[in-house]
Amino acid sequence: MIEGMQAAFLLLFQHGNIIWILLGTFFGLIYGVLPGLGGVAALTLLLPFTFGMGTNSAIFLFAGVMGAVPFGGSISAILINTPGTPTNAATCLDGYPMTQRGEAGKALGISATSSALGAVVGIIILIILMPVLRFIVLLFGPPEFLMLILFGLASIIVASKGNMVKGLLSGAIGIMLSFVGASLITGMPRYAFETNYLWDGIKIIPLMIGLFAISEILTLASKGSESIVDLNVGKISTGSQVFKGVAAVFENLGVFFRGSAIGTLIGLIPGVGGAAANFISYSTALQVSKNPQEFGKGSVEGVIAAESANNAKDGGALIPTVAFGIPGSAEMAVLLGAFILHGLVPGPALLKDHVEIVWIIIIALVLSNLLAAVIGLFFARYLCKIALTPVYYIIPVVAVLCYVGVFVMHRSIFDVVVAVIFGFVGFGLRRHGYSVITLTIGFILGRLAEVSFHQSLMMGYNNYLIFFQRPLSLALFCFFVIILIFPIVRKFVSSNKVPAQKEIRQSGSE
Amino acid sequence: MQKKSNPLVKLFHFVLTLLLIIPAVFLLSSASSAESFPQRPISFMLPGGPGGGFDTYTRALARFMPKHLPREVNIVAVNMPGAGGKVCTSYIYRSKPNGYTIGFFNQPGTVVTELLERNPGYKVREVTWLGTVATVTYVMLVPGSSNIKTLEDLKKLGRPVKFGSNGFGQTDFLIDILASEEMGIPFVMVTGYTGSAAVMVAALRGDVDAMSYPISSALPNIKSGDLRPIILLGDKRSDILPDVPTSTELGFPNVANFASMYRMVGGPPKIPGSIKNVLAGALEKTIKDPEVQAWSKKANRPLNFINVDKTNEIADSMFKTFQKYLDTIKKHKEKLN
Repeated sequence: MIEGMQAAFLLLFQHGNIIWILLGTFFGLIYGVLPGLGGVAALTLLLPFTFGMGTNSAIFLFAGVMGAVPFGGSISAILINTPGTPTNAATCLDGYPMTQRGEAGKALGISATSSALGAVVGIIILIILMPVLRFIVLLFGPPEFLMLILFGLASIIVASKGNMVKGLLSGAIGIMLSFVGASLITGMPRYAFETNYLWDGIKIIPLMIGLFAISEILTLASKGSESIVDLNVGKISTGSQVFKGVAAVFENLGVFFRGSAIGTLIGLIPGVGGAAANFISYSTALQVSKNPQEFGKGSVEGVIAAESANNAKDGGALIPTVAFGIPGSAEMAVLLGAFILHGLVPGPALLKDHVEIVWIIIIALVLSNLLAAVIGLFFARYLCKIALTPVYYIIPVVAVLCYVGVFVMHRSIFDVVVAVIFGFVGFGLRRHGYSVITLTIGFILGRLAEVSFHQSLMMGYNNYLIFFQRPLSLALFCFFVIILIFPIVRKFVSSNKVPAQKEIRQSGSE
Repeated sequence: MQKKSNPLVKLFHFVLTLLLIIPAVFLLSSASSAESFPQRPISFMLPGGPGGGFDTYTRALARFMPKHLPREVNIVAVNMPGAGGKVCTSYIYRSKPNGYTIGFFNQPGTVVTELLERNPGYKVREVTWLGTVATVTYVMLVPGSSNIKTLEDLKKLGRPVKFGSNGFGQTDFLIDILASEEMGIPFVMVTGYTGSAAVMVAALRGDVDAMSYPISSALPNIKSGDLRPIILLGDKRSDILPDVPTSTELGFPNVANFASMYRMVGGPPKIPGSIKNVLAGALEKTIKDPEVQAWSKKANRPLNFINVDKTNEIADSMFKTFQKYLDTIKKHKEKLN
């Protein structure tokens, strides 16, 4: 292991490999910022250009891209309410409200810091776990995963506080929307109306861009506001704000470490995806937070939870790659595909014979994350100006970005139609006080919950006991029940106490 | 930012624009004549996302095939995942038969979808075939830690064998159910895994007892001892796994008829003969190119070229084969619900 690290560090200073990381970082940032384009698109576009260069340099370039994309995506999520990549969807929920409050600089500072440090924590967890990687990957089967998702779904309740009926209703709408398309279990199409388009269900990027960005454009236009920030709020001083954001991460270290750990954990389960990491972390933060009512209105904790998780997931996705030669994320799958085109066979043997490859990925991921954060912190004060730009410049530019971004993803005009429809849906929902947050949580987690529930049952020959026979699943279930019951008990106990005190007082006065 | 517009500058811009437009018009008009195919980039569609098996093959072809065309144009790999391959297949089927849109067909997946569905959006038998790039042999695998070593062990498990698969309509699902029926293995399916990587982890985790997997993709994990091959689904032993018995040897010759996947290349119906010959010729030359063969060996991505006539034959016979199994497939589809 150590030799591999030395070899990788030596390689870092050869053949201009640092330049490749730099290029990768810039490229990743740009692809992250542009809605619809993400890590996978960036890697596949770069692939043909790497045929002429050495395999190691190509890996430096690719890992550089992978490291910078999630932070790039958070920039557009924070500034214009448009998730740059699906993994930034949860960042919109609190990042954009901060911008509206005139705290774009702070939000960008938080995002840059928790992104970079989240990636580092993810990598550190990977390195610490090296000896037991195989064990860890095999720990989380469908029953355990279902329990994790239930935690996430339960946050719909917390997020609905104060407006329970409407919150739960939009959560349910989100879950129903996630069921559209061919069932992953039976292949049976549901609500697909015999079209090939709906066969795969409603895609996450058009839904998000519609629900967040396009509905926000409509809101801005209908309110007739002059800029994203309400100028009556007061002046925004951006320079010092950025560093307030950096400091905010260190003031909320608990949220940060929890987010990074959850991101790593979700990353190591193959086939789950970064959007789930982002949302499960966000919804956990929401549940354990002391100020859940702040979430969705520009909570610092929300941004930290979301952004630390989506960068830590890259470290997690490396875990199955190192342990079994199996990709843990879509980006990792493209990376392993690139290995094959370069004439390497991905698999356990490759990583045993070429330990330096793992270290190259690690070094490049960490460096590009730190670089992206530094670039982000430097430009944050200029980027904030977007929030003060008159809306008649913002609206057309954002609209075009959204439509083009949605279209290029799969070159499908139907994607654009879906985005527009959900733009109006989101506009209507928000206008009537329905929560877009619970809808998105339901949408992201609904399908995952359905699939892992069915898989668990199929594994257990249709016996429901499977959820309680596996120790980890049982433990998570108990924990889940406790978390669910605890607020009720606390309420019950405190409501018992108050009348009791009243009685004492009354009896005392008599 | 206000500049005075100089008439000379304006004229210069006008001339520049003309200079750009005129050649473009010429290029476009000459592209429409079939005489000198190809004139512009060729889109190579593939039914899957980046990183998968078809993706790797397409990108390899995109890299090596242009220099075997009469005129070197770019070949652009276009990922078109969705609806179990239906989106891609029907897209190719509907495109203009001018040779600029071709792609991979997942056989027998496309055939089975067509047989099962009322409205699949294509007719495989009308596709203009250009050849087959690779034949994928499947192998039945169990986790390395499992006690199962032979077919008999699978049958004597005392409970139905759990097979892991991507889901209904995927090649591995078809092979699992048809091979198990044929060989008399009692089984249930566990589906819903997104991608073959997830199925492999499921097997290692013990979610499932067994799985079917393309032999070359499973090889690294077989060598490391994570997975153990028990039956090769075909009639010829493999050079890379010479100790694994074939299904034919075990007394089930029918398995070999349905258990292979073909990576066929084709285009929309009625591509003119001259264009078809150019493409088919280039494909054959590419696969036989020593550089490509060397890559195939090194990266362990087997290539075995099957020419146009033979590809047509296989595609036709596949219809008959799967017609026979249609009832079995339907039965297991019902079972999942």
